[in-house]
Parts: sequence; C-alpha cells; structure tokens
Amino acid sequence: MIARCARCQGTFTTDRFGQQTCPHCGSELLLADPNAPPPGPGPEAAPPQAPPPSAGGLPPPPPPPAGGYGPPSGGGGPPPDGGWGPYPPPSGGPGPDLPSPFAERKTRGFFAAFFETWKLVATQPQQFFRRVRIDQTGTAVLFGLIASVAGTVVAGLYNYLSGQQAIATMQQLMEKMPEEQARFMRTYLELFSGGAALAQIVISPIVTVIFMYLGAAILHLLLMLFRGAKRPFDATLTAVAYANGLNLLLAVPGCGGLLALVWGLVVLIIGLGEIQRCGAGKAAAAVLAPVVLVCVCCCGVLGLGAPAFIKGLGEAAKQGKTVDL
Amino acid sequence: MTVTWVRTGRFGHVEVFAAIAALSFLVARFVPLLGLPFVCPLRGMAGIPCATCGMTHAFVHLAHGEPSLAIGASPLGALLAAAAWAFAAADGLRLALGAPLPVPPPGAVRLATAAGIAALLANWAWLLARAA
Repeated sequence: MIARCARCQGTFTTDRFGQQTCPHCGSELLLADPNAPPPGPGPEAAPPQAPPPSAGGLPPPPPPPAGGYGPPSGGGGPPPDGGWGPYPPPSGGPGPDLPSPFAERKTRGFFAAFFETWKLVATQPQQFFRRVRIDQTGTAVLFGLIASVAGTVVAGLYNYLSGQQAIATMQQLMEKMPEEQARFMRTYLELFSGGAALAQIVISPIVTVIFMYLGAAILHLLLMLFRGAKRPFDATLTAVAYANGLNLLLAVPGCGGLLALVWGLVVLIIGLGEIQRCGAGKAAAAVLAPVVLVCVCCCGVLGLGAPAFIKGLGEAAKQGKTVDL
Repeated sequence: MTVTWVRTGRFGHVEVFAAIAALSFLVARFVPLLGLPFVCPLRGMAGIPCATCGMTHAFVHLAHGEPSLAIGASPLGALLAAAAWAFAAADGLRLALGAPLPVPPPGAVRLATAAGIAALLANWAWLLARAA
C-alpha cells in the first residue's frame, strides 16, 4: 500500500501498519490500521487486531463496530454524540465500510439517526459515500423516500395555499405573451396549485421510489458506458437514494426547489464518484450527460429556427409593427 | 459473449423493475392519462417536441391494443412499452418457475446502452421531422 508522511507529504510504499520511518525526511510516524476496532470509551474496548494480509482491495463490509462510529485509531476516541467522527488520514487506506446512522435508527432513535445521516450526506458527502455500506439499499431507499415525501408534502401544501396568488401575479405577464405560450403557462401553474398539488402529495411516495430506481438504473448504465461502474448496482442505488435526501430542502418556500436541485446534483456527483471509486469526472459525466445532451440538442434545434425568427423580426420592423418580446 | 446465470432472492432489484414495468401497464390501461392537462414544457414554450414526446401516448395506445397508433405517436415509446411489459411477464414467469436470472456481460450492457442512446436520438429526429 502507499502511505503519505504527515510531515513532508512525501509518499512511500509499505506493507505493514504501525510505527514507520519516512524514507524522505526520516521522521517517525504511526500508520493507523483502518480495520482495527476503535478505542472504546471504557475499559472493555477490544485490543487492536492484527493487520490484514492485503490492504490494496476493497474489504468486505464488516458488521457494525461494537464501539460506535469513532475514528479507526489515533483519533482521540469517538465523539460524544456517537457520530461517524473524523476520518483516517490518507495513508490509512480505504478502511472498512460502515452502516449509515439511519441504518441504526432502532438504537439511535429515528429522528436523531435521520438528521445525523442527512447532515453527513449534505455536508460531508465525500467521506460519507466513501465509507457507507452498499448492502443496505433498503435503508437508503427508505431514507430518500422519507426526505422526498416530507419535502414534497410541505412544498405541495405551500403551493396549494399560494397557487391562486401566483396565478394572479403571473396573469399580467401572461397577457403580454403569445396566446399559445400564455395557455401553456396557465396550464402549468394550475398543475402545481390547487387540487393538482394535493394529488402530487398523494402519489409522491410511489413516484419517488420509481424515480429513484429508474434514475439509478440510467446512471448505472451510463457509468458502465464510461467504464466507471467499479461496484454493483447496489452502490449506485445507495448514492442516488441518499442524495435524494436533499429533497427535504423542497420544504424551503420559494427557492427550495432550486436549492434541492443544485445541492442534490453536487452531492450525487461527489457521492457516485466516491461510492463507485471512479472519481468525480466520470460521475459528473454520467450525471450531466443526459442534461448536456438535451441542452445541446435543444440549442441546436432552436439554432436551426433562429434564422427564420430573425428574418421574421426584420420583416415586422420594415412594416412598422411593434414586436413585443 | 457469455451470459451468467445467477440465483436471486424472491424479491430483489430485478423484481422492483418488473413491478414498475407492470405498474406502467396498469396505469396506461386504466388511468385516463391522456385527459390530464399536461403539456411538454419544450413544446409549450418553443413549439418543438422533446426527445420523449409522445411516449405517454405510445404506452396508452399499446396498452389499449392499438400498436399502429402507438408507433405513430413514438416508435421508441412503443418499443420501450413492449419491452418493459415483456420483461415484467418474463420475470414473473422466472420467479414462478424458480429459474435463475440471466446476467449479460458488461460489454453487452455497454453496447446496449450506446444503442439505446442512438435510438433515443433517432426517435427525436423522427419527431422533429414530423413536426416540421
């Protein structure tokens, strides 16, 4: 395995954990064993295990550590709230996979586990997706489902209450639009207000699950196309489901939708790159390829129609007509 | 190209996709989807069909036994609907018989994905040509 000196940042190859001497600067350093149990808070903490025979590949997911989710070693013990804690230094290797806090909701308490997981996904996606277990897809899907439905319900109620007001506000703008576009805008606004908003709330659980599975399937196929799917479909589904948790931001009135979209995309790209061990580049390519494809094609189609549009504007100007854009 | 045969549990990811496919048939057959006041945003604002325009019509027409109307609405949509429902039926049969799941090699999946993207673009070109 490759280790990095904390003092001179030089890298070197070693085949064991524990006390080392940096071949570059000669300083003594302690190479932490990521598979060793964390130092427990009490005297019953287990002694450190022997180093594994090979630290190069991905280790199989171990059972949840008995001592909580503290750092593997040398981190000063688990944090007081029992969270995931700081992560090992780069020289420690990938380390063992951990269940997410939400997977332990029975012991941690439902809301505490939910919000701790949400905080990890939203603020430390790189560390979270690097270490989270991928064989607990049911938990991940449940987490994404609860967050999405909660956000959709609040947003739906908000749209239901403010829908008529929004239509009245947009009415003035729609009067200046061509008739067809104004009709479309009116239909679109009605679709997201009134009874339609309540209908969205009712069907949101099943729609969320369908979108998570289909989205994960499309992303996994694109990752395979870019040769970035290093782990099975469960990993992609786990990333998509946990990133879906950002849909809780839909509950923020006004900018919640935009916030959830942008933050969710960023978390999804980082999460896919980490969980599939393929890097952010391939993950971004897989996530953004459909969007870019549609944008490029739409712009191309609109570009083909632009000369006719400009010609029409010119002819209207020659005839002295006012063109209301 | 070698297909691997894998024994799966009673209800895994494959069964979730089969259930989604079966649900799409039920919705297309029994829910009045074409009566919903939904307009494609691209078509509504720019008058141009998007790549997936006509797929709802294709699913609904095929579910009502009208394949020519389905193909006319969206050839790829009709193909997708037929493939999805055939997959749901095949997986249900596989589960009932307790047969293993065929898993294609990664190379074949990559090829199929590339072919799917090409088919989507071809379908869009056909829709644009028809709308012009």
